[in-house]
Amino acid sequence: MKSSVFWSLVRKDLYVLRGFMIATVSVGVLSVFLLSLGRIGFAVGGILFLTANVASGIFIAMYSLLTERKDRSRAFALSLPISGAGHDQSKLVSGYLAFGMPWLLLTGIAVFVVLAGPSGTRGMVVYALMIQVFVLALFSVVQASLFVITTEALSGIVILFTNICFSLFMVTVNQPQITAPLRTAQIVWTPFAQRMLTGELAVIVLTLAFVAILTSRKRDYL
Amino acid sequence: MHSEFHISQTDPRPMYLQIKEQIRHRIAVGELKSGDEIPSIRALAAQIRVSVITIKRAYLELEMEGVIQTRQGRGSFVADDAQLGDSLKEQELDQHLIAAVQAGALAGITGEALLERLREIERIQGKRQS
Amino acid sequence: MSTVISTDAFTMQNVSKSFRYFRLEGLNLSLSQGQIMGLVGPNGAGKSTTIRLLMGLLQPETGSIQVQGHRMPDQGHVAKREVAFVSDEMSLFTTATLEWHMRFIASIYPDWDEVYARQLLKRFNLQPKQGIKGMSRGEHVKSMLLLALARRPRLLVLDEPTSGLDPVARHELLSELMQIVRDDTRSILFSSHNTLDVERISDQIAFIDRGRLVDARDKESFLERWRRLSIDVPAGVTLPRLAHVVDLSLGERLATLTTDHYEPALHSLLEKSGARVHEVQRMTLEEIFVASVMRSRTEGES
Repeated sequence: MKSSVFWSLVRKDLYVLRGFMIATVSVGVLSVFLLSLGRIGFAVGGILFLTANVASGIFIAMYSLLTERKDRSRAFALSLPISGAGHDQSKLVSGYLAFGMPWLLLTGIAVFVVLAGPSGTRGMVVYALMIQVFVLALFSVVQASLFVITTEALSGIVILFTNICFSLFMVTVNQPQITAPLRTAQIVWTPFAQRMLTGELAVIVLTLAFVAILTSRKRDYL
Repeated sequence: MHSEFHISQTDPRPMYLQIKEQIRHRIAVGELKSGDEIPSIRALAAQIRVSVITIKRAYLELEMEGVIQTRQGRGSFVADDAQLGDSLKEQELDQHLIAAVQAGALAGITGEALLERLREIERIQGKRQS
Repeated sequence: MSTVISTDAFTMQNVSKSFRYFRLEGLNLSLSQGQIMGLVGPNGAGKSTTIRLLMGLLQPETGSIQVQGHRMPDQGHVAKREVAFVSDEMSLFTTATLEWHMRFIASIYPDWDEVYARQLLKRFNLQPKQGIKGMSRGEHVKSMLLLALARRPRLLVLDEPTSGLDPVARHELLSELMQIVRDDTRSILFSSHNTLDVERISDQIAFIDRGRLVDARDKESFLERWRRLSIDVPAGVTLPRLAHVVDLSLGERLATLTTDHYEPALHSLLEKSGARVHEVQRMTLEEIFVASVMRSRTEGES
């Protein structure tokens, strides 16, 4: 049972991040619309969709954790009747909500678009899910690492790492041998897809466990 | 109504002493009369922005000197002594006289010579005021 | 000082904390309810560390800390319901307004006094609709003080509250602080470089230097025990060996003696040896503080 201070802080963070959330959903919806506009529209729409997801994840994770430190408003938040661990957890929850809600919406839209589209490519739902869950896993990693990393220089490296990972992933997942089996009318959970999704979910669980252990052991908060 | 107390941190006298003297002076000139209520320790502390401990010290010493009385739960009052105003005026006079004797000693003017000088000054002051 | 734990505003017993380049050692500090304590110390002495330990933001390595009867840092989330903390290194949320913060704090603290908050807005000359981002440092500090005062805390902890405040705001703050202790169950701890203010409103004073508590006692004791004596030393006279000499500077015919245990008997001791006390000066808190720290450092080095 979390206190009202906990939820007040989460609400405050969501209020501050509402701009990002709205922007992400807007760009996401726009890009989905572009997908239906021929080959170039499809390419641009696709890129925009992914960028919106990844960028929002990074912005949200960074904004919550880093700006508050720079702002010195962390000391103010910690002066409220909440434990240091409770405050860390509120940051985690608000981060996942601020990223997760638009993500859920966009994932839903992507799945709907694929299922509602040409019946011959319904299997691409698996492709869409692999990408979306990858982005969620990436967000988890960035969020977790920013709990540990306090300097701006290192957080820049984290962002670089994120971009590289994402590029490698896109190259990997766009290989014909991966996508071809998915361009079917049936929804097929190929071995590759199963391994990929399991791996992504494992990353999410591991990063959450990592943060949970970290917050329970931390004793000095300022 | 009562005038404000003023404590100066540039005055060489310690704060508790300034408070004591201001209360005594108010009694001496009649602004505070026997049995009048004076502010509680914490109320005065808030009024003049001086620590409670200092006000406590001033009140304690004034009580020991018989100038004020503190009744538990009722507050602090000027002592029920009809002569208080006069005796405080006399105490103030004594302070000045002590200073005069000391200054006289330094200047080599003592005893009868000092008394003569005092009478002369009293005469001049009397003329000035009429 | 009270020895009953439950009525103390706070108690720190044998508290230590190490950092890479600094160590706070064996700190014993407590404050009875209804009192104001001033914490004085050079930069880097450990004042902020002490305050952070008190607020449960740091875990002590040794010793125990209790605030309003609650153990820190474990019961920090409970203790902080009754404690307000303002530091000059703290900021409010820059994306919001003062009004937003007032509603935010009011929703968390049931003792929020809206009428008092409105009075403070006038006294501190603040505009509720103003955004935190656009505020000067002084307005920012005043806003934080307003939020702390209007929630009517049992213990108010302030780290350099007057830094960045103009004289009028400082005057208003001191007035508000003194209003708090009209209630003898409310207490204040504040650290400040402004020794004049500390001297004026503190009941208890603690000196900290290089991670150690140099001295801590009630203010009147400090002011009564410390004196600076000007002594005439005629030719051929040697001053006797005296106890409690903090500093002694000897010239050919004059000596200046600083003592932390002044007694009238000191005069006769000096006069017996042929010296004459020319003048006895009281010392300001600042002078006492500097002399204490100097002595402590010299003792530390030997």
